[in-house]
Amino acid sequence: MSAELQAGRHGAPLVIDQVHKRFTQGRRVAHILRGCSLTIGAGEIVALVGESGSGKSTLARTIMKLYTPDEGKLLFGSEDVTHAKGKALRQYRERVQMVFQDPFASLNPAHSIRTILRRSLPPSARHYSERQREDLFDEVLTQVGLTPASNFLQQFPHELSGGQRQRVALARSLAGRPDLVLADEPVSMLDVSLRLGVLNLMLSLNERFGIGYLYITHDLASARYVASRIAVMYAGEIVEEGPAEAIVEEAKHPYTQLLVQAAPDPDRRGLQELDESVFTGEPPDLSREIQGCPFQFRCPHVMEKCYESSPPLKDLGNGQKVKCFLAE
Amino acid sequence: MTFSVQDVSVSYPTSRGWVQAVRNVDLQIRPGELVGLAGESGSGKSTLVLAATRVLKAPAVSVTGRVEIMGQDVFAWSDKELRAQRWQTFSFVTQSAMNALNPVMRVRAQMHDAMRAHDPHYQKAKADKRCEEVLRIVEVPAAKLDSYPHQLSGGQRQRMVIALALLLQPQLVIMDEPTTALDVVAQREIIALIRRLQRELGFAVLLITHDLSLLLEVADAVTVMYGGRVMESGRSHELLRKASHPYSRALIHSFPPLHGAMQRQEGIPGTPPDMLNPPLGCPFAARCVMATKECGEQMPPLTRYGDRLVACHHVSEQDFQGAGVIV
Ligand SMILES: Nc1ncnc2c1ncn2[C@@H]1O[C@H](COP(=O)(O)OP(=O)(O)OP(=O)(O)O)[C@@H](O)[C@H]1O
Ligand SMILES: Nc1ncnc2c1ncn2[C@@H]1O[C@H](COP(=O)(O)OP(=O)(O)OP(=O)(O)O)[C@@H](O)[C@H]1O
Ligand code: SF4
Ligand SMILES: [Mg+2]
Ligand SMILES: [Mg+2]
Repeated sequence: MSAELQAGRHGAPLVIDQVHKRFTQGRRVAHILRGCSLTIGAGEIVALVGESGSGKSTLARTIMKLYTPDEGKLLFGSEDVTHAKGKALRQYRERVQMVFQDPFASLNPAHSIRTILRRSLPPSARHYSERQREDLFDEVLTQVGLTPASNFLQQFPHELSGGQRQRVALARSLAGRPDLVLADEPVSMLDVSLRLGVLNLMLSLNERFGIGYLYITHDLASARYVASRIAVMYAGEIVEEGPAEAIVEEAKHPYTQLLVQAAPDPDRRGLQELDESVFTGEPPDLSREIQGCPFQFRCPHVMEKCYESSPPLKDLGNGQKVKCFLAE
Repeated sequence: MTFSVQDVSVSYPTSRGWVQAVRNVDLQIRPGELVGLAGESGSGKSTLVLAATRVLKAPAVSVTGRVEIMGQDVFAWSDKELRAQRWQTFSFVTQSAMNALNPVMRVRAQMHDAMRAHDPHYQKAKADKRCEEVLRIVEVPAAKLDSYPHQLSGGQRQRMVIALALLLQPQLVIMDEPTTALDVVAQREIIALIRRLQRELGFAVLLITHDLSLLLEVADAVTVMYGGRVMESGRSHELLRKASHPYSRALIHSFPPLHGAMQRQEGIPGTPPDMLNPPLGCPFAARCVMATKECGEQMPPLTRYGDRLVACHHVSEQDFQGAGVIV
């Protein structure tokens, strides 16, 4: 077992503090992360939900330091990693791993699964014997349901189905036993049964080794299943966060309420039963400055002041925080 | 029939032998219908449609059986005919949205290319208008037409590929996991829009997804695959009310609930079969709560009960009596 890799490690909290990220495309500047703040405690599972294009992957990539924040800070434990370079950056990236959203683009097509896994091992695993390494690979592949592991180790990404690639990507992130895994939609291509298997795996690794997760998903039910806290992103800001239960049962932000209302429910049938009016409207144009609340364009409760200034983050006391004037 | 798959089997040659990814699959789609194909990861869903639309062909795969699109034998088309039909008669949204888009071309240019190739009366201004129209359908701001694929979010890329599939108004649209990167609001919204377009224009859709709850909500009929074979198929509302195959039943019952008490769930214990050495009997036998000796030894035939087809030794006529399940 790879307890050795884990020995002497203590997870550390990751603090994302008022992070901004802009992209320039020709003359247009798109302001994708707009003062985004979130803390992931050591060994905590936090789910990040929010609509397509809201900036979830950008946030994960920024945490990974694939992008440098234009403003704001990233703290990991006691270290400020906002501008980490060289050795400090390498060490940080050993402890924080990412599972990319698109498993068709993130696995090197020229490498067998064995090579992909071998390359993911941190330097601390370099002294492993061939045997120990194979055992570790066998273990992580079996954990994600790719059996017999010996078959899969020889295969190349193009020989795998979408869901199988997704599980290789997850196995890769686990092989080095990091402190924190940024998992961007890691189970989106898996059916419920396998999905439960992978979610249970995340839970058990969390319990056994204290691995923390930022679990990015569109599936609220699975967010509630694995995460202790859920953060909801809209237009590059966290508009609501809190204990998973509270977010699902007592969402305060109109956008979260919309998400909960639209979540699939096996007991309900037919699209027509959904209130169509909540679907109208588009996400805001991020290449323009937004004055006021970013949800004003779609909000069923929009008020005069929502156009004028952006709502402050209100702490409800139970760990739930909301950015909406209604919560005042 | 808009789309008819008859007794299709597909195998991949590998250094270790043949991977028998799809076995004797039948599937029919009538004009205007939305048919869902569900099943476990690795059960052969993508392989089936990749082979049926000749994206995959010999020597990469060996295919047997017959496939018809709008009554025409797909395997008899010349390469030139195939190119002429693709996008125009049928379109295919592959599972990897990134691979479907050319990474070094702006989206607009890719759409124009498709229109230019198929329309002898191609006009730039008209084509631009059509691009904007399909972007409205999939709800992406028109400004994103001038983005390169890597500048789009996961969900925006998937929407672009759906837009591309609708561009030339084909009779059949095949979509392989088109909404995995979309939030539930967007997912339902897009499917609802496609439903509405289908009613107006009469095209048929084959929707592949692991998300059985979505399918049972939106599809007219659903086929469930496991281990390369069809386990059960029928009308969605009937399946939702009473799935007969133990695998589809297990799938329907393993949703983590959104509300109510929270507890660890186990899904379906066990792992899928090794398709290099597929089991002799029912592929699901190793994980099935109802399995008996017979199940491990003999493949149950796909048997018709009214509108329903089920392959299970322990499902019989009696299961469909009373309650008017057979419509
Ligand atoms: N490199 C880039 N250049 C320009 N714009 C970008 C770039 N990367 C992302 N964007 C834009 O930033 C916005 C947020 O993208 P991001 O990928 O973070 O969204 P997301 O929340 O992960 O969405 P999804 O759920 O669809 O994956 C999108 O509008 C996208 O077009
Ligand atoms: N090129 C290949 N060579 C060998 N085996 C392959 C190849 N492509 C796919 N397979 C195998 O064929 C089986 C079916 O794969 P397919 O991609 O059709 O599954 P799927 O049902 O679409 O799964 P998913 O839901 O995960 O996308 C899998 O076991 C896969 O490993
Ligand atoms: S602040 Fe106003 S517009 Fe924003 S969500 Fe609350 S009520 Fe709606
Ligand atoms: Mg994303
Ligand atoms: Mg597939």
